[in-house]
Amino acid sequence: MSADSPLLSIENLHVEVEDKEILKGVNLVINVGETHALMGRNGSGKSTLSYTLMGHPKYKVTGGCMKYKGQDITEMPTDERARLGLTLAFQYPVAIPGVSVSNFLRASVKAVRGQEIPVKEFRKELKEVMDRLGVPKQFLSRYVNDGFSGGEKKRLEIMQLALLKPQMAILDETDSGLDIDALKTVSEGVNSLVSKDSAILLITHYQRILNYVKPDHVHVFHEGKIVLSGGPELSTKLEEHGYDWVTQELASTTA
Amino acid sequence: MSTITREGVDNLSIDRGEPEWLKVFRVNALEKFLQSPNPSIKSDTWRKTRVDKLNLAEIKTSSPAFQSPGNKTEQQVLERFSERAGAVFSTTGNSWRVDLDEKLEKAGVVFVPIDEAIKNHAESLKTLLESETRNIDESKDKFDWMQEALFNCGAYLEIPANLVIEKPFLVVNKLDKSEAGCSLFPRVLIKAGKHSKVSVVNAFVCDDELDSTVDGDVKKLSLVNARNLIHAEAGSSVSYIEVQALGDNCFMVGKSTGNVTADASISTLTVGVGGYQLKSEISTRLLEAGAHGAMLGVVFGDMNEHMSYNTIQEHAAPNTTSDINFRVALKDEAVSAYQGNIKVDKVAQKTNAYQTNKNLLLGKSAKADSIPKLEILANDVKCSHGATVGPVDQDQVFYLMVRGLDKKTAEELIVAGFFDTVLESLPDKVANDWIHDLIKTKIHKERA
Repeated sequence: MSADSPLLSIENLHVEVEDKEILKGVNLVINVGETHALMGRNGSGKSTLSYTLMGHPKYKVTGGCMKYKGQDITEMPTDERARLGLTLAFQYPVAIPGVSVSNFLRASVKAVRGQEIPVKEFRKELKEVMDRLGVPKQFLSRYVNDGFSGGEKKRLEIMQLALLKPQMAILDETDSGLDIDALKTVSEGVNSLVSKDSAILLITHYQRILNYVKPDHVHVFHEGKIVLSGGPELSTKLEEHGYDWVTQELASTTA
Repeated sequence: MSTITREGVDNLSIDRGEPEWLKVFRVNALEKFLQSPNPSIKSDTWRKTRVDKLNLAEIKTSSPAFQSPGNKTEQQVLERFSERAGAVFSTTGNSWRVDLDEKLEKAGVVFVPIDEAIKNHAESLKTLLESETRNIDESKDKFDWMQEALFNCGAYLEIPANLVIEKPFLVVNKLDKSEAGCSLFPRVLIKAGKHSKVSVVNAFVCDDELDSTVDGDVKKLSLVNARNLIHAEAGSSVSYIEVQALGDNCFMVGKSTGNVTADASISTLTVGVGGYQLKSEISTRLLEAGAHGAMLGVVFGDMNEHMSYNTIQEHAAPNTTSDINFRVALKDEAVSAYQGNIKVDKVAQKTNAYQTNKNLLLGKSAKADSIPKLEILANDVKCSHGATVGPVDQDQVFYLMVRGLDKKTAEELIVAGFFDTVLESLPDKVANDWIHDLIKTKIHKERA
């Protein structure tokens, strides 16, 4: 990748799920050092975008492409994308009974870093992250997301991100279902991912988390594409006036 | 030519210097064996098995010369269980005791090969054998009678009252590698005295080399026909782990029965990880109030293996509880059939019976069947059962792949976890590690 090429670029992306077109031409460019917020109503296709970026087999790209570090990843298997530094914090993380959090974390850290880490070193790293995010020790022996409350699931997602240190993290509604204290901790976790070499795409339909995580760019997602982009002030306007004015404005410009 | 003849049985008894009552017992069984029809794959208990592929006439039942344990397969098992109460080994037709903790022997524990028990503990043994005969004669099939007529190795374990033993007793049955068509008829009898506590690991293994024994294009099968009987006296607690890790030309028929009396409990774990056909019936009979039976199963088949498991939880007294958790995963074209029977007698009020069977299909051509059978005659009971059959959850695979795991590793982790939900309750760490290793080897095994 050349120094000035974007970290992630999405070009005219069209995606179908079970023969129904959900994404209808998404364009988005994210550079290193940037935090982007993608806002929109439920059902506007935000989560489809996040799943497609990670290559879920159910989401079929019918047009356009996705480039990561200049490389076309449209057809790339999910795990290879992850090993290139792209990852997703799920809105609804799935439970995996029988697989303990600690086993899972070791396996994924090993996969992403491409080598086994000594147990002692891993424990130390884990402890540091858990202390910082206020994750109790008992998490490690529990099965992945099995019987976890909504808040616990989100904490575990953030904890994984903190360990794996992805260069490009997509956070899908990481703020939903959190009480205010949990929201603060999770936001701190998100903020710690911000660096000049990495970027974040934060998907949300509330402005609430943006009080703690400051985006550089805000995009409004509507009916499968980005219809409006702006700076942080856009999120405040959305919070005050809802999404209706965006759709009205759209209707008047296309009329 | 079949060696299962009157003459063969007579010689078996004479060679071993067995008492007259046992000879009569064997001859009676042989007559029933000869009268019984071959089990049909159309019958309930033998459906989806490959019993029609087994030619009993090709099975050699004579005993070869004595062998001492020096072989790598059994040595590996012994080394694993270095912390043990004692060990008995069996190969084709012979058993011998490897060791028994001296303190336990002084405390009155009996742990001997079955032929020694016939000589020195005849009364106990006779009672056990005959009680079994009286109780379930009508449900016996050809293989049961064959076992009674021909059992020639195994172990007898008797724990005195109030003795609590944490270390496991190990019984290893090894199918001889020297020739295909060989057979093993082991019998293990366990008697736990009042308020005693004991754990037993009964392993069926064979040398790797046996895998490749092919006679032309047709595999020549070897046979293991095993019988296990546990009697848990009042207030006792028995843990029984059976590991079936045989080669792909081994046909195993196993039957295990646990009799649980007042406030006693028997927990069994059946591990099926290798065999041309594994066919087991595991039953727990809850005979008096307060009796508890737990039956766990971890079954993992690949290639063309067939795995068939029937469990029977029989509540014959009021206030008894039973709990079954049986899990099966199948790769390639492996086939399994699970049948879970819950029987509640008319008198068995306040029964609490639970049964769950989950099946994970890893190969597109793998097939799993699950049939619950409930026969409830009491009216104040709690019974629940549930079964699932399906492929690996693709959302779980995706989740792990998003965290960098390749598809194969992700699936392996999910399968290991699937079994871990059963194995987590296993207190014996050594047995647990061994079972994990057996599963792991099989998960990673690529098709030849």
